[in-house]
Amino acid sequence: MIADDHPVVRVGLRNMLQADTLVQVVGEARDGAEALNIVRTTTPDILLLDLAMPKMPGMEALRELTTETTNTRTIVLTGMVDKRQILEALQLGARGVVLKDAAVEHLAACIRAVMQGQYWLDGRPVQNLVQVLRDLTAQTAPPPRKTFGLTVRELEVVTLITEGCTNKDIAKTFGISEETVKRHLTNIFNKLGVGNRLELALFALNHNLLPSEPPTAATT
Amino acid sequence: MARADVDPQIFDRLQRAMAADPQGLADLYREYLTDARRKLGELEEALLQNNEEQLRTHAHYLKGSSQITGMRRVAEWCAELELAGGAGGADKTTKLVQEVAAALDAAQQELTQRVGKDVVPAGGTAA
Repeated sequence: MIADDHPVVRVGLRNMLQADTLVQVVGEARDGAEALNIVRTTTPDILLLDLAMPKMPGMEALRELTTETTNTRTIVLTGMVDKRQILEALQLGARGVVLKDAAVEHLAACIRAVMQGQYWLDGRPVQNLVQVLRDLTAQTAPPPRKTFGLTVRELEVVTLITEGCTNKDIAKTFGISEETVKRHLTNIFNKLGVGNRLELALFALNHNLLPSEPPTAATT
Repeated sequence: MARADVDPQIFDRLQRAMAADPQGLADLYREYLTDARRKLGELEEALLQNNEEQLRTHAHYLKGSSQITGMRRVAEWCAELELAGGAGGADKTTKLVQEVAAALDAAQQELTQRVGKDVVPAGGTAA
């Protein structure tokens, strides 16, 4: 079954696939919602799913499918290599990913591999899915935050300084004395080569020293 | 040697797949060209309105059908346009849209040679 919002893509794929005697196209959908309906009623062996579709995008349809018991195996069709998207699709149960400009060349082989229980990525069957997932996770992870030799506690103090907290506020947040906060600040200034709180805040912003989550008193 | 505007491998594969229905092949490519011309108009409209989101959306859509049908150069320029959006300024975006249009004209000429005049959309001739 083919799900793509573009009629020309559906016609092209259908004609190409039907030339293969082992493949029969049992349905076509223009968006994710329609794809889900057809999968539920016809239970195709393979769903070819475009990720960028109106109404319900392919990824959302795939997410929905993971909550259902179905024997349909999904192969994602995509226009570009977006490792984050590929990782997410595999995590949601997709069995293969095929680039649209390689579809004519690889799709039939991909379908056969997936029907045999294999995964398909980068134009070939995947031998070790765990390794692929590990590599993709590593490649899509954000770069580690540079810490400039600051300790975890000092980084937490920096974050609160950038939020405009006073020494008293910081001491209260972490349950430590103001003297300890001052000692932390002296160490931070020395390590970063800044002279005051404003310079520290600017340094932190410019060098991505701030975490995505604010520190809490529970952090030790 | 200059690369063909139409990917010969993809074209040959589609032609073989549709060998029993040559008119179907002409219909497929005419539908592609008709749709691509309409999309090009929408790209030009988005350019006039400086609407980056629409530029990306239309470029992505046209890229998809171009990739599947083997319209290699159109797909490549659409990919570049999708990636750039409006970044790089109006001059760059205008140039990219012009490149898409030129690639589409060239693809239509090559398709006419390969498939016949039936692929030309009504009222649409290659520049």
